Amino acid sequence: MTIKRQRFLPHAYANRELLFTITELRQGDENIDVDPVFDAERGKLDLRDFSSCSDPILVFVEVRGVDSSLYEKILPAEERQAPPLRYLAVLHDAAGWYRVVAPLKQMDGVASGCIKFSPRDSTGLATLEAVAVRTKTGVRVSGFATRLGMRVASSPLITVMTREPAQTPGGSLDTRWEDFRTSTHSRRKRSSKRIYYLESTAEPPVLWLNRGVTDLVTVLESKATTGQRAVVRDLLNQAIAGPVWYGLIHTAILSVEQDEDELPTVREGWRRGLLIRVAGKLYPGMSREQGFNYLLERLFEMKQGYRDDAAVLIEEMVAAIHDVLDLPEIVRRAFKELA
Amino acid sequence: MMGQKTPLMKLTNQGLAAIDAAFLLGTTERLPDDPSFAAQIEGETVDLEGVNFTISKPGPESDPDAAVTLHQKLGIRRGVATDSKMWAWLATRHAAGALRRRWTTGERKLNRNRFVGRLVDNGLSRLWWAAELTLDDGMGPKAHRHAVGLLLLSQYRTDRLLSMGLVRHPPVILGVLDAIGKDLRWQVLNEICKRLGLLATTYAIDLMNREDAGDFVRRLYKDVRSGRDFATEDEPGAMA
Repeated sequence: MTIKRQRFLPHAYANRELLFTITELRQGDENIDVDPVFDAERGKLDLRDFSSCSDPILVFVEVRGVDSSLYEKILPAEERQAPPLRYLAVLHDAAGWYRVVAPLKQMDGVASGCIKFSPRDSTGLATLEAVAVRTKTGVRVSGFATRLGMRVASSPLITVMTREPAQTPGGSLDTRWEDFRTSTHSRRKRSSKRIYYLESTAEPPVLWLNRGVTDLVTVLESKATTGQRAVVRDLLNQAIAGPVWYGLIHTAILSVEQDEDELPTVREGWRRGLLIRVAGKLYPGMSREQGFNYLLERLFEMKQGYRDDAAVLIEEMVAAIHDVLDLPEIVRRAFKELA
Repeated sequence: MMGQKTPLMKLTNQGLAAIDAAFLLGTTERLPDDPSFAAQIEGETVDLEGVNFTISKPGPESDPDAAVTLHQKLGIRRGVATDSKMWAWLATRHAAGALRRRWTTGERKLNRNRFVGRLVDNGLSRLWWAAELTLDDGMGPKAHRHAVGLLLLSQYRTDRLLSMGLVRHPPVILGVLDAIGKDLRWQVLNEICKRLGLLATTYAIDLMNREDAGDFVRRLYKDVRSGRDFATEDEPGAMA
């Protein structure tokens, strides 16, 4: 048995169509200028400069266009006069252990409110979005969500950089230094000029970095945040991270199987963690759990040979890894350093 | 009285590798003070003098009080509490004896993950997170202690709920606990969690307040119980 796609979004759903924006930022009594920290076009809010203060940050938000044009997409005709909807803003920390939800007040086609969060409760990266949820159960109408609590619309995600990450990038991957020339591992010793070696057969996998390469330790372990060394380190990290991510995800895909209820699953641990992160990039309009389940379904069907669009999925995965690693930001900083 | 703040550390990979069979047996009482075994977490300090890792009667029945005390005294925030290597440092450097006593039961061997495992498995982090995720705005100490007790009522319940990202939000997890109360049948909870996972694809369960989440899960609970009989089998995969 495989899960049909319709299970996940079986009803009219205004996916990423709520016009969501940030209008004001505050920390304690201080106002924070929105323009320098919020890139509306790219959907990025950078609050790292304000993370050292223990005061929570207040983000004032608005959803515009809450009117008949939206209702036509998500509500049966008989409910459009008095829409049974409420709007919420939600901040999800990327690590999955911190969530803040704030109700938005609706007036004159705009839903607005304030979401308050503490940077110290976040691991460094979070997403902010608005969602519309039904407030009562209506008469069942085919093609529409009619039950209390159902999610019917969402906004594009805003990525929020809340503070410098508490863990070093790739923190959960076991990374070790070794001089490959003197390694007891035959493959590492044989190609002792390699920069890195991913031992994906280890459980959990180990990323070996070659201490024997001149200056590699100095550059990769540099704490610099600006300057040439930081640029070289970040680009080198990217050069290593791309294939390592793909290698690990490929290994994770191979372990997708069916549970006792014939639902696709993957074992707990790093495999699951990686697929959850990629699913978030592949399906930004879905919740974490929803996106992950849908990805598992697609991967399982691909493994079984049920899908003839495996190349499409691989293409999407490569793009998702690119997004996870945020290469454009690294390149932008590198070009800025060159200029 | 406030004690002296000391830098908060996390185990390095070398430190993790040092947690071996001898350590679990207690031959090595606690992780040696070797600089290669731990690294400082920048900008984070902790008052370890205020935390008493000694548990007078180590056992499941002491877990709720231990959880509340650890949560109150440790004074850390969620950002750093998601770092499993930080918990590994606390567990192996400061709470090794207490965790050995708590988790050495009968003939079961002590599981390494109680020291260096995931947040759900580590003997300290599971307590801290149980207390953190059951503390909602405006909640008094008595109500909090009661909710922590409900979450820690069985190992399966704690593991299942803390492992589920969907419910890792105080209003939602409290709603679930309100609905299932003291029903300890693991199959019932397992079925509810499975259904919650599926329903979350269309219902905004993760955004519900305590009352709505409680009502939602109560309906599921009723439906699950009426669907079939659940025997009182042992919990699956219970870990020492």
